Amino acid sequence: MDRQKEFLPLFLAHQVGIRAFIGSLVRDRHTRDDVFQEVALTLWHEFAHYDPSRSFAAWARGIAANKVLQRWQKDNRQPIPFAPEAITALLDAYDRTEADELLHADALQRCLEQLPERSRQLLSLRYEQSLKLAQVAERLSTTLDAAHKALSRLRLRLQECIEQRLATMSGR
Amino acid sequence: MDHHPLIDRYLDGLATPAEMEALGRLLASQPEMAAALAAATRTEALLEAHFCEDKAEAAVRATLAASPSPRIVSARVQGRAPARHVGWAAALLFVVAGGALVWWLVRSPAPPPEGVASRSKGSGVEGTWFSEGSRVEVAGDSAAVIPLPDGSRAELAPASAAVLRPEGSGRVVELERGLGTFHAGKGKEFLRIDTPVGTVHGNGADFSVELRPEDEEGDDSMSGRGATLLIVAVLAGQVEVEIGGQRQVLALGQSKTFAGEKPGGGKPASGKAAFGKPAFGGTVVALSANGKTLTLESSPGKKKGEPVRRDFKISEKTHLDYPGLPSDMHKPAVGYIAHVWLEEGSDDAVARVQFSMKHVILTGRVAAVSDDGATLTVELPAKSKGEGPIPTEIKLLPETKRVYKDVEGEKPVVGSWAQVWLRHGSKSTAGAVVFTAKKPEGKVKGPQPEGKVKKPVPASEQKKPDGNKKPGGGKNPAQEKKPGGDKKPTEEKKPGDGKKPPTQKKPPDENAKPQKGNAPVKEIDLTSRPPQPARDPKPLAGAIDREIDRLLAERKVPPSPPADDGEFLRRAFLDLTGRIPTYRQTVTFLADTHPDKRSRLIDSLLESSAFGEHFATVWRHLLAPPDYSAVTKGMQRDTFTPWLADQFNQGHGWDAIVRDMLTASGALKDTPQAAFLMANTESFQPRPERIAGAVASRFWAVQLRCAECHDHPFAHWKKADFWGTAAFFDRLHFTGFKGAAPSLVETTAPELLQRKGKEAPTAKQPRALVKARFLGGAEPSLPQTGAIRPTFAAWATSADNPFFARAAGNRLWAHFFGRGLSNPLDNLDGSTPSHPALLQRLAKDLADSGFELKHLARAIGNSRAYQRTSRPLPGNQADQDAFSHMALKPLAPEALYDALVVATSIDKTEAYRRAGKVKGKQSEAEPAWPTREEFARAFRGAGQGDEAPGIPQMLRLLNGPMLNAGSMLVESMADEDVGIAEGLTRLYLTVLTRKPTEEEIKLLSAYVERRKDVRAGYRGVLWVLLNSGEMALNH
Repeated sequence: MDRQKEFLPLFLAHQVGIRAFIGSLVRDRHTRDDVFQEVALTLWHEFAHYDPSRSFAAWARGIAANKVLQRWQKDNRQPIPFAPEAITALLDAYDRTEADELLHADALQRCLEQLPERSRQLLSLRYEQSLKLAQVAERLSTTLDAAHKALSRLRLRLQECIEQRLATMSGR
Repeated sequence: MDHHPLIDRYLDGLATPAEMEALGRLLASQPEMAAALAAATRTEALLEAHFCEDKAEAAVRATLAASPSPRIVSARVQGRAPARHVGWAAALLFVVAGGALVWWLVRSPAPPPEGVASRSKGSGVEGTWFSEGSRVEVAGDSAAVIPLPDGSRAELAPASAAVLRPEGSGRVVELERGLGTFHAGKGKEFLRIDTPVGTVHGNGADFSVELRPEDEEGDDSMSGRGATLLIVAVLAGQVEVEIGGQRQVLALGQSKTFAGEKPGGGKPASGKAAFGKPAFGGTVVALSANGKTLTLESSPGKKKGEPVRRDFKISEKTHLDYPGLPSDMHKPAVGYIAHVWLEEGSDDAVARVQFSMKHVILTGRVAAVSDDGATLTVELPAKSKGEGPIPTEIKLLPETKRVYKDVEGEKPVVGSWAQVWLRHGSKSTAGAVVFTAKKPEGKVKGPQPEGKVKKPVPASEQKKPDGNKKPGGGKNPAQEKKPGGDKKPTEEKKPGDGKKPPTQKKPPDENAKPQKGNAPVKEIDLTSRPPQPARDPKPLAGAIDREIDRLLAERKVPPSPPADDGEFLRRAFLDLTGRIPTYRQTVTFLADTHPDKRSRLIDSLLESSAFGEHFATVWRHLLAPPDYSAVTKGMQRDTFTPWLADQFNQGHGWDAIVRDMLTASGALKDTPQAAFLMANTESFQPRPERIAGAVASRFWAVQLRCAECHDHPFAHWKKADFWGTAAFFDRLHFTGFKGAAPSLVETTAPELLQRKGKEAPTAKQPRALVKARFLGGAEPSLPQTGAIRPTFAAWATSADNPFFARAAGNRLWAHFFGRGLSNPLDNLDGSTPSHPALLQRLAKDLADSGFELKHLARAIGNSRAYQRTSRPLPGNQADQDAFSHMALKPLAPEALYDALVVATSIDKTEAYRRAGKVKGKQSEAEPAWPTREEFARAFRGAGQGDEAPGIPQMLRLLNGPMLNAGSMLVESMADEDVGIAEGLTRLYLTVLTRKPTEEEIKLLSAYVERRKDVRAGYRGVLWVLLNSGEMALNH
């Protein structure tokens, strides 16, 4: 029972990271939510087998990777997007860059505040309403290509801004 | 740091398969690539969490502001009672997505750890059932999907609240308010939904349960519960509804509305023990001094036995629960209702007890009001006959909520009526009082059926179409222009004028956008007389009736009487055009006195383009079920349905249509009829054996597939028959992968043929060994060069083919009567027809008419058998296959969609605008209406997962904005101020094609009257009607 109490804080602290990892493999928002569900449930059931000396996030990502693979194998209508090697590489990449989500979230918040309204709108359409890029472009009366470019730039800018903030915060 | 363009293309869903492959390679080989993707997706996840959080937060604030209930606490997660109930998982979990915030108040063994008491990041469309015994509130504007143990599922609509309770292996959801749709997996235990009004049990069923306040402006502020309607709708399987000890079974397609007799009072009915989870339930009649012993008395249940008293022991291990009670009442007390669950193996040690209170409402005439207005004397109805009313003094506190309805002066008046909600635990102090000028009527005792499945128009109603002309057409100028929306009567009467392009029907718009393809439903023109049909349907109609009547007489089964005009009108519309008549069409038809009006109606409907469209939809699903997944096998748009529609509307013979499908060749984009062959491909290549199986079952109703691998055990088909048929499709190829237009080609080059003749090019051995031959054995002489399919198609569809006409006739019959003369429809030689001679006659007439489906449809429509009511007689209820009464047929999703469009006669842009206005939402709101395709897709359940999501999704659509967006009908009635009885009549005629019965008028006008705004009342009625089983069925 006690172990179960431990689960929740761990899970809450890492859920964005778990989602992020799933997001690197599964692009469709609904499917991603489904996978996340499954992963969360499995984590809960398997929590007894979790080795506390290891990183919870890494453990969770491993389970998530398996879930995604299973799903791909089951759905034979679509080609399998990535080979297992690519998934392994992604797992490694995540392991190398494990991050404190709360700090990240905080940094993101501040970075967003600096953005012009139109940029925020673009982000909101894509990440809040989960619209497809074509729909986003249509809402903003722009071309697919322009929306893609703008969004790519924004993502990069945000990422840099976050890194920067974290760097200054830890430097202090 | 830089992003590789591939990563960005991937993130935005723009990567091509080739790019995906490249990306995969790069990820595997270059660590920095993987790191870049990791960083990018992490930013994305943070962004999603950020945005969802904002939304969720707003939702929480809104809920807090709106709700005065003490139960909604400001902490998002709150440890409840110091329970030590071990079996329950002590965790909570928020799972994330979309726009709803699921609120779990968890009973944990200890206060939740620090950091847990914060809201989840994000919001949950899907919440995971981690902790049984959780209270869930759904804030935000999306439903919460909660998987229950054992594969059941609950989906709670926004603003709903429920407690999820463990009960042994059973599943219990206490729905406190709002709407839940439930999928009850098949299991040993029933899924039980407890509500204040009654209890619903389901096992292997899909159903929705909704609680709606009978009076929205009522007094829910004090209790969280006003008078309540319980609406149960069953979409699959059947459920049992139990109210006040009475049980009632609702089956597939039925929906009913029940009125709570005394809100809160009916809570867990005594009969519940049968499903047995609480060990005992009753009123607390005594409590020992130390508070450790509880004496409960069961309410004298439906068996009218003696009340039973039992003592139960409470220890510190007992979990005490007080749902719905304010916190200062969280102490056992005499007078509470208690349900107890025992420790295992004990018969008095309580593991858990749940306390609730009866909600007492007194209703009576106000006999006196004290000068200060603080005391009322209310005359309560006598307890038994012969006694006078009982005057009772009721105290009103300053905080007592007072609601005045049609009471002048906004103060208590002698002679008005008062509904008094007593305060918890008090016998004379009011928590709230509702004053009305008239005696409130809504509180019907017990179950109050609303939606009936069997045709409920009493016989007397049939005589009234002329006499009762209130809603009659033409009298009221304003109503003329109303329900039909736009009228385009002229366009539809040009059958067969040349070739209309196959895409005359709007193909679905690929890129979803707000105002996209909501099916434009044109009104069908009934006013102009269609040309005389070339072939007289009367002889065949007569033959049908002779055969049907003969079997009925033989079995001594009485036929049901003819359907009344409304029932017939609706049925003919649905069967022939897949939609319901508009209000105006209904009124006109009912008022029409011409003796031939039914025949004329059938002719008009058959000439409308809606006929072909409807039949096309039906056949499309049979011949080439649309592949809803992203890949549509080279056929981006559904051109097949429009092509079929065109064929039917132009009156092409069924044989010609099928030949076209079987011999389709050429570029797919110009050859919509290739869809049938392409539906039987594997890896893009047509598979002769699959085509053979499909041709045999769809067009001949012969099951050849089993003969693929072995000689059929029962039928006489041999492997040679199967492979002989398949061989006709052996030369079919799909080409055009590299640049060329995707095409279907039949190889005719002689050298290839030769090679094929000698040895099979692939491992599929049997093919090469079997020569192409007709089913039954004849080996046609085939051209050495050139296509061989035409030879096959000609034979497959000829009048001499022993299967073709019979299969089509039987299928058409089933379309109208709900079952075939021989069943199953795709295996005619596997069973004996109920009416062999009739089947023979149908086949012959069909062949003689040049396979004109309209001819057969017309004859069937004109038969007495078809025009019988669906209401069974006592003597023919059990009849299954003699056609003594019309079968109830569920509407196909497409038909249901069209029917909804007609019924709400909604103008899309208007609905869109209004939805925005009503909800006060920004225009970011997604369109209120799903498209026809989305609707059908949701209904047919094209989900990716294992469970079929179709039904809950459809329920969500039904209960969602689609039916709440308001309707032109309601608006115009309210603007016109037509009066409630007339308004109700119009609603019924519009939605159900019949007039309301007197009881319905009485019940519903009481409901509408209690609304401040008639619009709200009408909308409520409309909602109920649209959701009724009567609406969802063709009867």
